[in-house]
Amino acid sequence: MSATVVLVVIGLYLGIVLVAGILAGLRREYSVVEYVAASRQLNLFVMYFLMGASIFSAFAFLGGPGWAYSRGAASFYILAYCAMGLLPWWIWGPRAYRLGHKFGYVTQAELVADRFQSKGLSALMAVVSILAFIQYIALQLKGIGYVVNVTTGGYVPFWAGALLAYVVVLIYVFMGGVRGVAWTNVIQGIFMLALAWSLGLYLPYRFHGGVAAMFEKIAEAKPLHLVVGEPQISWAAFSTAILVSVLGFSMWPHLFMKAYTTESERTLKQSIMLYPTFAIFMIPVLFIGFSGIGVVPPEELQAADQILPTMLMKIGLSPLGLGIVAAGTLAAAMSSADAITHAAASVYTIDFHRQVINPKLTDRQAVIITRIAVVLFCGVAYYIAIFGAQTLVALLLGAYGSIVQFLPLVAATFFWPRANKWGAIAGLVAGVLTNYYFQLVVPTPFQIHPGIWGLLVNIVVMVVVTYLTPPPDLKHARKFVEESLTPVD
Amino acid sequence: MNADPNAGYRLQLFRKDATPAGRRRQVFWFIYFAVVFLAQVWPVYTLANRVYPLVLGMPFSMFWVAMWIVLNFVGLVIMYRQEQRGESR
Repeated sequence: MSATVVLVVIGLYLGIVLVAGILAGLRREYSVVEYVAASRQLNLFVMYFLMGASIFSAFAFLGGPGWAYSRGAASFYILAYCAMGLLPWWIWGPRAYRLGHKFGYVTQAELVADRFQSKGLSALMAVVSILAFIQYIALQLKGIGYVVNVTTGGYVPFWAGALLAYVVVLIYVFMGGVRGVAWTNVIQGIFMLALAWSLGLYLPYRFHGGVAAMFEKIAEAKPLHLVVGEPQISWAAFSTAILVSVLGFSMWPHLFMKAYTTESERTLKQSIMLYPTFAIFMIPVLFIGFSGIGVVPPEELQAADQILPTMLMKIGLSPLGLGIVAAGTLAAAMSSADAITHAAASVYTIDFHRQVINPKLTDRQAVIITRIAVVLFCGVAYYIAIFGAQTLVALLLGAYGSIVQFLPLVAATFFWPRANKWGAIAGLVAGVLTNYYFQLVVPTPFQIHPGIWGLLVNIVVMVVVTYLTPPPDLKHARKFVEESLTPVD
Repeated sequence: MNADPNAGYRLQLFRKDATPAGRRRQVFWFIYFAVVFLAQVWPVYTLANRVYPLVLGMPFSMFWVAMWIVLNFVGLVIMYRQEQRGESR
């Protein structure tokens, strides 16, 4: 019975979102984004909650509490990462925006490959990006699987929940994204933020008599749980995880794609400025995980990520409430999965297929290939989410750490005209291989994040190879430095 | 041939027409955010890495990170406003 109510709520929510999207697509002049563009104040308001909806993905809502529950203070890494993740974008974002507007780029690799005049570089970046994207989509599908499974009391199996997400994401992407449904995302952003605070403050009160009382209890039972360091996480791992996240976050290809289409530099900088406030919202989300300690025994969970929905079941939330939470999480995961899936498919078509397989791709063919890529990538992500496929997972985890290897390429594009094609390719290959080596083959030295080792090797190889080979055309290379420093609006 | 033929290839971090004050401001903010980062990793964070005193109900280790989130945000707001006033050049 209660499972039915939960499913009906989820179904209703999805129905509304789909219908709203189709309507907005039919009558574009009424879409919220265009309406809102008239008023800057409101625009900022809408943009804020749109960002909130995309940040509060399945990872934030399930992974965050999961870490707090199982690894304690190690989860503070998420706060630091969320607060500082977009800081470097203050440097890269406006430059990418300016060059994108001047030269009409669509993807990140187009910009870098144009600077270094190399199709191989474009293909290489495409492969790394796609592997990382698939890992990200798999995380979202997994999250939805957990939530639907637990909130329906196990009635809907994990694989079916994730499959539901897969199908919905496909429909979303084929409809041309969620552009027209900005308002559902705004409502959902507000809803998620409200949920974070109410649950984060209510759960500690309900089970422990308050936030302070909860932490005192945890400190007494597990003195090391609330401080960073062994056995939760070593200092080297904690510090370098933050470093690699802060450096790597702004290297994600979809951020560049977004920057090219942003309406103004001002909007771009406003979003960077507001981003750390979401880290504040993550604090109560972590409280949710801490509140499960001593309440839910670890044996009761298949994975620590299930702690949030499990706590909801513990407080006996009504089926209606559970359904709303499930729908909210579903939408949170989807709004991020949708953009990522679209980005992954575009990267494949533009940076790989057109560069390596068929340079004479027509627009019509490009659309078909993009759609095939969407189905395929989502399918692989689903497979990983369900079966866990160990070797595949390792490959993709490595890709996640490889995104940060784009940093020297982007930095050289904007700041260092001497860097050439050979240095760029050699650096990237060396960085990615080093990252994989310490991720998969041998344990990483001193517990320092493999991405950091990769980055060090990457920079050294890039500089050395660049100086051993002839410089690039000065006028061409300087164009990227000069033009990226000259505002377009 | 007294001009260095490689001059055009040198690392360039600022706009050519950037004022000294503008450059100083950029360097200042770079250092500011570097401090924000360093405060939250080894070794500085070890100084704040303890449970007591609880602040706002949070263990001190968690409050420390929360405090730096706020300082990070405040820094960004000031930097943004400076830039909108056109002082960043």
